[in-house]
Amino acid sequence: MGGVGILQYPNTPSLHNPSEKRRVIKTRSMKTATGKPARKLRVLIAKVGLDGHDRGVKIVARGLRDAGMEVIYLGIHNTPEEIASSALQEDVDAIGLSIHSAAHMTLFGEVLALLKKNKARDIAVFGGGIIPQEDIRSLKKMGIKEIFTPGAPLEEIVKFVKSIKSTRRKARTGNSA
Amino acid sequence: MTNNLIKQILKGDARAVASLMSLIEDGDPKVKAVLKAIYPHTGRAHVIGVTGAAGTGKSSLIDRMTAEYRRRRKTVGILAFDPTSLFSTGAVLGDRIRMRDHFVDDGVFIRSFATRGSSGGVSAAVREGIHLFDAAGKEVIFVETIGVGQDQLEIAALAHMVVVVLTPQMGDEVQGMKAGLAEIADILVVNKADLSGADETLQQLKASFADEDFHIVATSAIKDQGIDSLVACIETHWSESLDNGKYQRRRLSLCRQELLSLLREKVFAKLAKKIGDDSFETQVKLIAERQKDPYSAVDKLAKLIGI
Repeated sequence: MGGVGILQYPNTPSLHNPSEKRRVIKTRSMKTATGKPARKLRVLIAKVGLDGHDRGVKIVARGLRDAGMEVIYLGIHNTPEEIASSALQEDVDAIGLSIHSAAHMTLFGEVLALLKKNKARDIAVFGGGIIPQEDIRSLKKMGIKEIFTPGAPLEEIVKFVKSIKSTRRKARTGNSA
Repeated sequence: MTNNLIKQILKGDARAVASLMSLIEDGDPKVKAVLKAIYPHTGRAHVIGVTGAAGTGKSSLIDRMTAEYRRRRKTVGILAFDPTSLFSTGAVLGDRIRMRDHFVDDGVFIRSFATRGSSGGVSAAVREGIHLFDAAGKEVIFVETIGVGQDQLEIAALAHMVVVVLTPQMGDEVQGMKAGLAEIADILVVNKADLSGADETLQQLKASFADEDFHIVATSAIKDQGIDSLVACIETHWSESLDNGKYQRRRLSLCRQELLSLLREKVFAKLAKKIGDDSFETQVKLIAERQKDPYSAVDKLAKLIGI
């Protein structure tokens, strides 16, 4: 069933029919050009484990970029350790994991455990792939924030990621005076 | 900011470094206090700029050089830049993907940056990012620019030395580059030297730049060839610069440019605040409607602050 992954959603409007609006160059006003902090959502997008189906995950990466986020794209064949360590160094708000190999219960769990070990459970983890309903429930119980299955519109993924409350900024300034 | 955070940074704690890096790239004013506290602990790292056109293999080359530096027991910090979209202001940061061998190595810290509207192939935050890595104890710091053309030379004002990456078959462009990119190179690398045409390119470069003060090295990052010679060349150049005063001159020039840029930023921010966004936007509209020319508009704005 390699062909129809969730994340392989070919006719996404914002990608394939770019509206006029998207083509307007955003210039900075004088106010933003002068020292006002510019907060940006940073998201790590990766495939985890031995699974090379990356067409969908690339579409998601581009979709999030087009929605104004900064996407650290990690490609295929990542171990949970590589993902957790990259997420820590990049100080991301969220990690999006794509998987089509059926190893989601194990691998997603390992990513969560590593984040916990590094006191970084404030990073939201969401996933996508061919994942059965009953597993989705277990994954959410485990701490995965959302799972997107085949057919999920890109807009919905974007909306979800935008809704993530950036706790990392609180976390890192939390002990400030 | 607490002393605690500063202590953690100086110990090289990854989470502390990562979070301060975010504040830096967001341009958060709170960051200056921390930078003041850690600045006395900087000045030890060797900062190497890596620049070149898109697709020449900058990230892969940094990956291989990092492996070589790790063999030499040096810790490494990498600031990797990719372009921000002018349309969505988003970015896909894809340099890290070439550096997988170092993801779980504590001695290597990789941070991806988007340019966020700055010109020159790096962002405004880059100098502060360098200081942070330096204070956190990274001995070698690579700054990778976005793929650049001919005159995005900002990197020369940031790094102790600049490695310019070329590939075979760029020979014809070499002459045209003479007044731009190649000019800022301390070391010129012909990467992808396993491809055909590499020897010719190398010959052409050597002939064109025979009288210049830089080294030319051939590498193949993907085949892991020539990397040890490249790193050896970097190290030789570094120790020579320390000995012959070139480093001291470079350091003075880097400090001068940093201070100038901070002063410009501060003065502009202060004056811009006095002018106000509204009067600024009013003038923009007048110019766009051709009711005013930009030169009179700037006079008018300057008058508001008594200049």
